[in-house]
Order: sequence, then structure tokens, then C-alpha cells
Amino acid sequence: MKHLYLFSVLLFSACATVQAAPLEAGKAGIYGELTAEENSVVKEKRQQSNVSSSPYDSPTQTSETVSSDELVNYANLDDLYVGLVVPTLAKQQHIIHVSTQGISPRALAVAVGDSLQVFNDTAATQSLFLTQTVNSGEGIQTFPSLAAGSNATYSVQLEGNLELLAENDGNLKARLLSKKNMQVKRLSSGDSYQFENLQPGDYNLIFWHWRLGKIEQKITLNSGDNLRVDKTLSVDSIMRSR
Amino acid sequence: MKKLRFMLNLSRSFLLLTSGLLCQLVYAQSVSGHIEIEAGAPVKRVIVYLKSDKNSSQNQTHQISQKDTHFNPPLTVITSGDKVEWINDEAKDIDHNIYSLNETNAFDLGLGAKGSKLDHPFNQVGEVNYYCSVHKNMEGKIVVLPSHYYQVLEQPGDFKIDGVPEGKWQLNAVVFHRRYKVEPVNVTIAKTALQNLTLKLVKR
Repeated sequence: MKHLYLFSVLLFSACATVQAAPLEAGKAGIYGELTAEENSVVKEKRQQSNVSSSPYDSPTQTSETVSSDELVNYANLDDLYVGLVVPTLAKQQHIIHVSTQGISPRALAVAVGDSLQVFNDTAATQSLFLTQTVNSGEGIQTFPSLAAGSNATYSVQLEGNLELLAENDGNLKARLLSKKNMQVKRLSSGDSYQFENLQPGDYNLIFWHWRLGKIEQKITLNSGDNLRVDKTLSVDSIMRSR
Repeated sequence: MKKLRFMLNLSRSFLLLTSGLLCQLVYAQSVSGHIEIEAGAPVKRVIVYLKSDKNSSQNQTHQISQKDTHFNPPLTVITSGDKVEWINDEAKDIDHNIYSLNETNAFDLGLGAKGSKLDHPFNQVGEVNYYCSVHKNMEGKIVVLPSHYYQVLEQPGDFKIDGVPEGKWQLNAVVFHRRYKVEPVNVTIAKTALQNLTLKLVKR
């Protein structure tokens, strides 16, 4: 019975593998899978101690010591982004909700020139602004005040590691990664992505999570190429790529 | 002849000793004043500090607790060259990882079991956000200042920094509210205390 179960799991995994979409003649594509993973030191110690039933428990702790709510569940992270820098890019629109719980999504990858449709779900007028993070620059972009219950659309003009903040409420905060000509897809850990029917040429592929950081990879695509690029975002994979 | 050589050596030693003592006679003064900001501005914590071209502070080690899966204190203010030591003082067997992917100071200190200490030096001035890769609410911030002459204010107001050596300094501030910035002031410290200085916080 156990073997049958394992066989089913393997069969399902094989069926669920990332498939490349067919390409138009003379075009190229990139596809792959993006996964978030715990730090390798955590993983190694967990494997050595053979303790945890959940791969995200701390290696030496039992379930009584820390509730699973306090652990980073890498398998369930749903705010991973893959971006491709494409010279001829159609602008994207992103939706943001500002509520008393915070800004949702809490992290967003965008292209310079993309629009943000912001809904103010709080009971107060919000004065929002975008700013480059402390160590990355002094750039700032202020948006007109947004009345309670209303929404407005703003265009992103700043590039780099950014924060979307509210002037009068320090709890309202979202992280943004903004890059010129970047087409983005939001993924959950383990999801596949695809950029198809691209012109042959050089591309910059970017994988990002607000807390894990960013990995950039240069790609050259020839006509007919359909390149698979899988990536794992973890603290150590990001450190190695720097 | 021997006597003469002895006398010469003695006088040379005396001169060296007195000149050394004179070199160490450096005045230290207090620098005080007020932070000026528009009424009702939502700015809270500010760190006022002094910066000089020739800082020679003794490096220190600052400790951060990780008890109950929280970095405590959540904000640590240090001077460039100082070291930070994270102590795993959990009551139960809980491991912690400490890492930062900061642009100027990235590090991954690995895994620290209960009772362990992990440390890291900070040589670049700036702000460093760090995390535990195991526990999602464990976040902390380190502010690395160029000198140990500073004061942390919970609200903009009066400030006073004591024991600042004479010389040319720049009075500056770390403003955590990103909508505001400070207009730094150059000051010269001599034989008297500097009082009634004004440091302006303005909108960026």
C-alpha cells in the first residue's frame, strides 16, 4: 500500500512537471519553476536530528516550544516574483489595498511606468509616498492624498528597492522592487512561470522575495530556444549570488 | 662627559613627556540644542549624532537577546567598527538563525542553538535590517553611526550630547520617518559648551 502511494505521488509529480508552451516560428521563450526554501544550515540540522514532522520547524524544538504560526513556512510563501527585462513592454497595472491590517500585497515587483491602483479601505485619509530604501537612495515620490473609501491610480516613477509608506501611520508599509522595462509574474513557492514568444536576444531574469532578496541572471536566447531556468530562493542561495 | 649625556637624556625625556601630556589636553564639551519641525508632524524616534573626519572611538560589543523568539532590543545603535553579539537565551531548545541581505552589510551567521553566541562586526555606517530565517516575526534593526557621540530621542525635542572633543564636527540625525530629512549643521567645538543649536527636520 505504501509503495502504491509513493508510486502515485511520483506519477503525479511527473505529470505536474513544468511544461514549455509551444513557440511561434523565429521566437524564443523562458520557463521554469521558482521555489522558496529554508536556509541550508536549518535544513541540514533538521535532517541530522531527524526530529521534525514539518520541514519548517526549528531543528531542535518540539511542537510545544513554538507554535507553527511563528515559523516561516517557505512552502506556503505566496509573494515571490519573477521578472524579465523586456525592451518593448506593455505597462502593467497592480492593485493595492490599504486597510487597518496593513498594505496588501505587502510586497510587489513593478516596472517603472506601471500603474498602481490604490484602494483606501481605512476610515482615514491617507497620504502615501514611495521612497527608495535607506541604503539605496534618497528618491521619493509623493502621491495626492487619498480619501477614506476612495481609490486612485498612480504611476511608479522611482527605480530600485522601494517602500510604499503612509505619512501618518507607521504600520502601513509595503516593499516594492521597481526596474525599467520589467515584466513581472507573482508566484507561490513551487509555481511555474513562462515568458513565451520573445524576440531572440539578451535578457535579464530577476527572481525576488522581499525578505529573501533578489537573484539576477543574464540569459541569451536564440531563435527557437525555449530555455528552462529553475530557481530556489533561500538565504544561502542569495548570499552565494551576490 | 657621562654626566652631561645623562643630563641631556633626562631633559629630552622630560620634553617628550610634557609634549605628550600637552597633546592629550583636549577639551571635551557638551553640544545641546533643539530639533525644529513643523507642528503636528508625525515624526517619532530620531537619533541626533555628531560626525567628524577623525574619529577614534574604542570599539565595543553590543548584545542582543533572542528570548521568546524576539530580538531584544529591536533597535540597536552602534558605532562603525563595533561588534554585535546575538545571544540565544531561550528557556527552551529553540535554534535561531541571523541573517541580513543589506546592500552594504550582508551576512548569514548560521544556526545558533540555545546558549550559543553569534557575532558580527559592522564597519559601514548605515541602517541594517536583519532577520531570523526560522521565525517569521523575528526582525531587528541596527543603526551604525560614524561616532559614539549621539542621543536617541523618542520624539523630536531638546538634545544634549556630552563629552565631545574639540574640533570640527557635523551635527546630523537619523530620521526614521522616511518623509522627513535633516538639514545637517557644521559646528566647531572649542573651550566652551555649544548651546541653543537648531537642527531642522524638513519634508523630503
